[in-house]
Amino acid sequence: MRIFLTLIASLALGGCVTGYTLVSPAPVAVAQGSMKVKPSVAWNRAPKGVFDIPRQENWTQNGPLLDGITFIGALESGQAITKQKPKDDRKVPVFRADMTPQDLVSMIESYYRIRAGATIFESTGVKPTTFLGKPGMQFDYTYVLTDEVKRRGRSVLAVVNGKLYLMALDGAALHYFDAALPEFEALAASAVIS
Amino acid sequence: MDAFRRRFLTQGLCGCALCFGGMSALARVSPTSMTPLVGPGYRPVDTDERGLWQAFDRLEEDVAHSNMLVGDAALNSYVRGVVERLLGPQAADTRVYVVRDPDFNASMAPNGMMLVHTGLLARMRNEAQFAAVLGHESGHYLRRHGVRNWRDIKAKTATMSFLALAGAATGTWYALANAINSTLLLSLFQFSREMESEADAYGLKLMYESRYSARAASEVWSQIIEERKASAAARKKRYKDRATSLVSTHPPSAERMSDLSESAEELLANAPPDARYDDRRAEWLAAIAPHRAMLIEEQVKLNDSGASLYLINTLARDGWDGTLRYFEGEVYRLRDESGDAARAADAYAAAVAFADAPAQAYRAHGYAQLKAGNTEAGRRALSRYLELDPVAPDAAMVRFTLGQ
Repeated sequence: MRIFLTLIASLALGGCVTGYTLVSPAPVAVAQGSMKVKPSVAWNRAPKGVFDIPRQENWTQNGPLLDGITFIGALESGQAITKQKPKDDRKVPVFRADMTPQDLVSMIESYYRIRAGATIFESTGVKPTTFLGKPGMQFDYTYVLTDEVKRRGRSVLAVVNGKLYLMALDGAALHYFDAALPEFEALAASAVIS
Repeated sequence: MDAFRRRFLTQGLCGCALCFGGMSALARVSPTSMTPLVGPGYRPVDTDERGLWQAFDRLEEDVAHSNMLVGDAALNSYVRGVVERLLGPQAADTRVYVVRDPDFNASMAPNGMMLVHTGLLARMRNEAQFAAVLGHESGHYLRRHGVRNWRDIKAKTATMSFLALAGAATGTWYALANAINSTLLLSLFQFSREMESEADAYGLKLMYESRYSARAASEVWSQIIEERKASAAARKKRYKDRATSLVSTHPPSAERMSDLSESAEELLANAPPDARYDDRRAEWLAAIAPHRAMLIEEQVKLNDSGASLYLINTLARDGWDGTLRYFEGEVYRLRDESGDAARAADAYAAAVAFADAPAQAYRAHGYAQLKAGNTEAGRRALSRYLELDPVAPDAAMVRFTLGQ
């Protein structure tokens, strides 16, 4: 969910982005310790983007333009999945504990359209799933940002005790999404609330 | 990336008129005084203009293969038809690309490449309004504003090289176009303002000669100004007229609308008694119908409630239907302020009362009813959604809801 931030960074800083740290293939707490997951391969933890919220963490294998995983954990009702100002012209709807599946889909789609500048965004599937041992939702989609690369995304989420827990995979539709998907699915299956 | 994109989209190559405001007044340009500076089949001869065209030809190669174009053959053919009606044989010197982007804009490059954004299509109420914008952009081409801009830049900034500029924009054609565009605008506010007046006048002339209602031009700008005011008001912000800055390229809005209106009346006063001018609304609605939901959806999902409601209410001046009521509900649902859940529920209920309600209106109606505690009504609506669209991407999730 944060590919576009790297686009901004590479334009502003000439591609010099520092601050990546190694995530070893062992159980690890993510998103301010709100969830624990068990990666089977090493990942790179990306530095915070300007619109990232505190309860967010981002990983990548091959660089955020090609693939990335976002974790958002224990987000309270009334909070947004991105930083934004009250008077922003275009705002991502805030999370509400009583959101319907349709509302959650809209919230995520708005993030891509407003924050990432996706001019083309299509839902390819919304279905029930189990996440963190609770009834959750899996949302699959494709989108195109202004770099015109076709990308695919999957968000897996659940609302537990009124709080949002979310994992999202983004990757170039050509190769990278499919390449990262098995590891993403294993990560999601391994996730537990800390 | 978003900020870069917005600047390009709101300013355009020979930017379409989104900037308004109060700087010194320019004399109105009479449409009848406008004559073309390029003839059919024009190709540049001077070295600098050839270089400019070649740079835009390379840009156009990227645009032509962009993932962001609307590929629908019927829509492209229709848009092409409007340009041909406006320009006649000279339309062969232009290419039009419909770009997926929810902002109101169109732009014209010096080599005849015209970009039409889907946000423009969403906002026009008839073919004459659309032709007003295309006519304005064609005016830029026929008056060679691109190269005139370019020559003025070179005179003012001797150190800048166009090709170096093009090379510096290492991103996509969007980034390149933006870099070119920003430079043009920053250098040339006053000169460009004269060009905008010329393009307005030329656009009116083309409309008049093509038997479009010339009054549509001032309507377009009126709608856009009102939309921007509505957007600011919804966020409790003061409406800022961007044209008060030094980068302003466009004549003041009130002056511009009055010029357009005055020029239109001048043309019509001298029209042959038997001449008929129309807005070709039926043709417009037929061409846009297959894409209308997508066009409105692009805007609504930006969650700019003031602008979205203004757009929907403007389109509804020609009559409410199921699609418009559904998207009205979507605006309230996304805005999510006090009382919006009830407003959304009312709009969805109104939407499904129309025979042409889209399937999604039943889904939205269903979830709104469930939220309000009306379980049976909610379940009926969700079931209806699945009947209408059994292979919807979210059918499994809706079935899950029904199973609970």
